[in-house]
Amino acid sequence: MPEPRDWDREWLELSAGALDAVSRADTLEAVEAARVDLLGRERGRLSALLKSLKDLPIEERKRLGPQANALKDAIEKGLESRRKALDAKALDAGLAAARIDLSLPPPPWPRGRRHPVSETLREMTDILSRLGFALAEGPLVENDRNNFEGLNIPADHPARDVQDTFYLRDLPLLLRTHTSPVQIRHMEANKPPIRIMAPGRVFRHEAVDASHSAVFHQVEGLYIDRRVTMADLKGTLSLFMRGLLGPKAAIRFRPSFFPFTEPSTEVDVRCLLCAGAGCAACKRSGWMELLGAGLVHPNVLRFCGIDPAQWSGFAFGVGVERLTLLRLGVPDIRMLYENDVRVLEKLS
Amino acid sequence: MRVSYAWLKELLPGLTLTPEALSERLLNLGLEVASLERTGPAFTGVVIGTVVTKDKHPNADRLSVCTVSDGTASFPVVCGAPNVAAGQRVAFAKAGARLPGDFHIKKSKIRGAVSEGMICSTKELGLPDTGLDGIMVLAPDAPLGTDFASTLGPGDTFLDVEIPSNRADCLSHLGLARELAVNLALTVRPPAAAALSETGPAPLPVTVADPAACPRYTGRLVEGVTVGPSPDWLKLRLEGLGLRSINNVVDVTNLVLMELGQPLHAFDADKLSGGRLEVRNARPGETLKALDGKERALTAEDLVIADGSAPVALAGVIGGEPTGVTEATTRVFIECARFSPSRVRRAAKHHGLRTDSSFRFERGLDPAGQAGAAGRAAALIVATAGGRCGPLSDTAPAAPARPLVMVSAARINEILGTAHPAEAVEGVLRRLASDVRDAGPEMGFVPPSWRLDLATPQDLAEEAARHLGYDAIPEEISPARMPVPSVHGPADLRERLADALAGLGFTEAMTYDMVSDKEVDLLLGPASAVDALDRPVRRDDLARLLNPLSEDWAAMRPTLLLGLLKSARLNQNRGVHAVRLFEEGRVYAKDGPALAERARLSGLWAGPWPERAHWRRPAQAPDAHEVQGLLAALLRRWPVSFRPAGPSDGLFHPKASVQVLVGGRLAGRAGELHPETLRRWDLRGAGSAFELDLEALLASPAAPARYSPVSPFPAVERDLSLYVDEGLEYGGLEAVVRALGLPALARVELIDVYSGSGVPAGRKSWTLRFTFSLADRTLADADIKAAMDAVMAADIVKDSIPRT
Repeated sequence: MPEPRDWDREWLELSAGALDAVSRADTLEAVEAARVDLLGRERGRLSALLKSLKDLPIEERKRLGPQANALKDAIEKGLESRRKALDAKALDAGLAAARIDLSLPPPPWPRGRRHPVSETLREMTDILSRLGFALAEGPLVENDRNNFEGLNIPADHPARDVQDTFYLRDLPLLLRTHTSPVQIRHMEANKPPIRIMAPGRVFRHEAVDASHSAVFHQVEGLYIDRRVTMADLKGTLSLFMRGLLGPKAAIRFRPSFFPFTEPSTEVDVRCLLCAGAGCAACKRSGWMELLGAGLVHPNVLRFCGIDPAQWSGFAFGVGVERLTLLRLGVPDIRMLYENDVRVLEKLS
Repeated sequence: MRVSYAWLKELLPGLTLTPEALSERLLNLGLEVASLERTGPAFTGVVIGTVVTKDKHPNADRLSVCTVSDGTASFPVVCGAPNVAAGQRVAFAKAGARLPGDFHIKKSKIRGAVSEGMICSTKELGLPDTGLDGIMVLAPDAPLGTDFASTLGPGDTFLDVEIPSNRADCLSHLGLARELAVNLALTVRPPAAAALSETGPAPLPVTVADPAACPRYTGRLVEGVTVGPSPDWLKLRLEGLGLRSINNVVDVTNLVLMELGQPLHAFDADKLSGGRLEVRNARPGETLKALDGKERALTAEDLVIADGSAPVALAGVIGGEPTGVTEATTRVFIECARFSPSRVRRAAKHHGLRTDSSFRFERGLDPAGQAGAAGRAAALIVATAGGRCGPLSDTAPAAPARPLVMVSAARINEILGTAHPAEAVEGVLRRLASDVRDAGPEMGFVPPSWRLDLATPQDLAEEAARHLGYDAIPEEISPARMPVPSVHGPADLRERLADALAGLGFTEAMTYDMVSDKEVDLLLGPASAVDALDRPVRRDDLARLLNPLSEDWAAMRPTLLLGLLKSARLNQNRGVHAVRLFEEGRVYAKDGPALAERARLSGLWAGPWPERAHWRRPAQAPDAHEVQGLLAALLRRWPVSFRPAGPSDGLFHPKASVQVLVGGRLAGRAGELHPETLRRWDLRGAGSAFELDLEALLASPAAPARYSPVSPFPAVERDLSLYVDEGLEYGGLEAVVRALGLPALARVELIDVYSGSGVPAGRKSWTLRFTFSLADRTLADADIKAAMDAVMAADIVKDSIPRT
């Protein structure tokens, strides 16, 4: 007959040292050793004790069981907290030891960019698009009918002087001198109301120098509706210009002449460089001409099959390169078509 | 047009605006003043003095010390001019005088001698250079002590006014005065119409062959004239406007041109043969020696004035030299006519002769102005050159009918969006025209004869707007009946692709649409080339310009690659070797009797990237694989595939280039550039390029974005290393695997390529990675095994499994 075990003594011995041993473990290995010693499935001292509880009389079991389970929970919690503390310490030590030279040159990532003229074009069409203008396009090679005749510029008209033209050989075609032919194409194909913008390339047969390019870009706008007035034109273009140049941009409308509009106006903005004080860029006038506009000439409406007694509208055209050059401080328009990537890198 | 402020004031006595204020006013009328120039004395404090004594300067060989008197006091003056002498009357700048260039005259000591003023040269006073050195010596009777500036007459201000092409009526001083009179509510004082006693001979008979070409021809004879220098007032007036004084008769015609805007021509009537004139087309073989001294061959397009034997003037453009007025002339025939604007314009263009006269004829003359101008000129000729003037001949004395424009203040306000009081609008119209008829709610407006541009209510609305001010028009936002906002397929596509390319590291370029033959030769080389759509690019199909600016711009580009190659070369020449550019734009080719203009997107990559060696990034050469990858990324929403391009193209590498198929349809070319292309363009390193036809791309719409489930179950990967036949193309192998139709196979990838030691001869090592996944369950080992067994059973795979 085996000697009855002294449960109380065993319990005291175990509970007195167990938690202490856990809290003393100062490496992950020591924590694991403590776990095996106490809770190991085979040899763990507490495991063994718990296993043998079933041999006790019911009263003893009721007395010792909860105590033993509480100790097991406490040991498990203690082990876990030691493990976490030691993990954190190890991580901190690792980070403290790390040596990373962040002054090393980082690797290059692709740095592409849009052309500065594209950026200005997009800015203009974005603003107009918010003002309700839909995009329209046309070919760059046009005929005389759409580029001149439909726009009230008959053959031998002196207004053709300012629109010197490239003609194609062997074909009755020309390179469009403005984006206005898109007006004709659109009005012939669509019924009013019409509200379009037409960005694109245009061509002028003129000597190329620092401020003149034979190839450049314009954005055309056209609005046809019932009773469209000069006041509507002023309101819309004023919004357009302030959208483009800032809410405080000063704008001036003055009379001008275009064969395809009547009345016609030129829109000036306060010089972007000297703010009106007078400089070489604005020829000392304090103003810069940015845009030409007017009410669509009745002859143009009639040409496109639109009854001028029923409908009226305004049209405008704005150059893209000039504003781009001014804003970016580019001294020579030819630089925009040369594609020196070192220059383009600075411009957008 | 150069305008004399003083002259304008003579015609508009009520004008009180300063030249600056006038400029501002003209600007707001749509007549921009490009520049203002003041003439006349630009000095003060200079009087007429006399040199009393002249002595040598004690300390300077070239200077003299003079005593100068202004009639009341004498002053010591040091003078350096060699021509100074006692007794001369001179322009004497006293202490306190101001000379041009902000030069103040003060009492001073010059080399020890006191000087209380300066004896002036023309240059020092800013006066016209006489060509004489030294001080200005005045007439011996010049009044001593008088302010020298006052003896030179008043100065003037000249305005350079830009006249729009519809306002020919403003191309004269009278015209501008009329415009300002409307604006300022002033009255014009027209040039004095001296009574002409028409006692001279009858005019030469004139016949007009085609009244459409010459709607009106008037003329007068003046006999007994004495041709000589013009009087000072006439000379000064013309010289002020930048015109050279020739003789009194010619000067009068020029004066009337500048005054009334009507060009005139004076013939020496004795040199006109046959005693008659004819306005007709030039005949084949006829020539004209013009007043500029050049002999010009005429064509039947040219309208000429001819005498009994030959052309004597190119109508409206220039007169002939043999019949011009000279010192020997005694009988003058004055021509004052109206010619067809387009005939004059074509002749001026054809002969490269833009004259003050042609400029005005082109823009249209006052049809009622000829008789008056002829009278004015005759009177001035008689006044300056003497003689007797004969009566006027006139081929069309009746003034042409004027239009009647029905308009109301309400209609004008409706056009402008203004609320001008009716009186204000009507006031402008009544000042504009003397003939305004009341007709109930509207009025009938008859434009004055010189306003050819006024024919519609819109024209009159512009008049009202100009004279009442564009600033008076309010700014309103149209009551928007907005059209449905529409997307624009082609533009949206271009923007998306261009943004994506920029994101992929390409810089957008813009090149000219025009190219030179030399560049086309560089592009095509000796071989043939095809474009993005596999169409041959031929020199014969180039769209060529009729009037190129220079040889550099002879034709329209057949491909965007030309401009990109040129830009790449420029960058490499400037030391940038890695160039990645793209451009979107149009390309052109003749297409039978028409022209094909197509939208393209091209890219070019020359030199390895990154350009500089870097510790982390090995440089990547721009080979065909890279470009295929680039296009796959760029066109990820489209079903893109590639197929080898044929050898028909000398632009791309015959082996390392592909056709780009989108949805099975040919949409572009891509790959490495032909070594010959690189050599011809002088490009260093390798280079690749692509060109996409955007219309072809648009014809194969991108797959619409749409949800489909992704598998929640883990995917399984299996790698398979093969020693495949050296000649095997990967596409063939992958096609075999795909043809198995394995249901769980999600991806096949080539993850390693190796040849060299350890690989059997004639073979290369490829490692493929197979990824399996099912949407509805976790894969079982058996599924994978079955799939891999099927792969390995395929002939081409079976033969390639390494034997261990």
